[in-house]
Amino acid sequence: MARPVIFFYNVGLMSRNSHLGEFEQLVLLAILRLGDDAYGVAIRDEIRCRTGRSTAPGALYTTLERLERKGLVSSRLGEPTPERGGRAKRYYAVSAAGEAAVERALRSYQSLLEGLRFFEKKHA
Amino acid sequence: MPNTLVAEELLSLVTPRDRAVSIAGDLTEEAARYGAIWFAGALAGVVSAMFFGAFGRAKLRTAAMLVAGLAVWAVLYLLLRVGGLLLGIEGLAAGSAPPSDLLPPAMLAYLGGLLAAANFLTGLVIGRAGGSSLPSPVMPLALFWAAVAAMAFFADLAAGRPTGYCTLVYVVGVPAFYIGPLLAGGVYAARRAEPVGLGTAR
Repeated sequence: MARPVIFFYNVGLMSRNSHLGEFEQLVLLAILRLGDDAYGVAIRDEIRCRTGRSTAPGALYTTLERLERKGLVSSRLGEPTPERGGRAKRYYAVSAAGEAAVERALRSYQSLLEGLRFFEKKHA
Repeated sequence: MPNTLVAEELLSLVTPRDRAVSIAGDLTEEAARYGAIWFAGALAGVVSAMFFGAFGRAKLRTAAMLVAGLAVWAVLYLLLRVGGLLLGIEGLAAGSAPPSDLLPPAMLAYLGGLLAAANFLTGLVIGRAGGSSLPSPVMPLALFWAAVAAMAFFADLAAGRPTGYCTLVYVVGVPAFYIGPLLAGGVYAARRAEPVGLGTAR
């Protein structure tokens, strides 16, 4: 009788932790690209430069908070700087679970794109 | 010039103080590029996004905070009016002018002061009762006042009878006498409830 309960629990856990939304993928990839310099402003700039997409600060900070709650990202405080009114930067890093989630998402895209003629022609 | 301290205090109503400090710093850094209007808009966007994110996770708790906030506000407002009556200054609010006319300055000052005091005390009471819980219990009531003002403004527009006086009340009066004092009370209560967070250089 315990098996179905465990089954549903696992499905719930997977869907909450491993499937990334499109914006979550962008944020994780930007953090990975920036390495040790990944803080709020730099992440927004990186996404804008690489994708041409302007990101609302509210969307970014709620996404970072959510990714941290999911355990896909960790953060640490840096030193306060004068150009920021004496406020410290919060630096983000992608955890091993976060890297695995990005990899899974990219594999899903690759698998869906495989065999699509228009895509193969464009990238031949 | 963006006010980083105000940003930090407002953000601390929806996120832990050490996070509020770093987000306020990020917004200040970007404001050097985009200006003070961008800063104000971005701050409002971050505060509301974080509040609605928390609301999505705890709808019942947020609704309960709003009901409690309204009840506390109603009681305090009533008590202040009774206080005014006992002091003999309640007459300033009686015999109000037609809605299209501007209220006499003394009456306006009395009603404004009364509303500001009721909202500040409500912020203090529910902010203190909520302790360091997030989002702060003042947030649902602050957004409720903002929503009421916005709905009243658009209802006037839709009915084709927006008056200068009513527009002034919605655009300036509600932020000045309702939302501002309420948030100030909440911030004051929150600061007393928790120590200053990490990462702040003062």
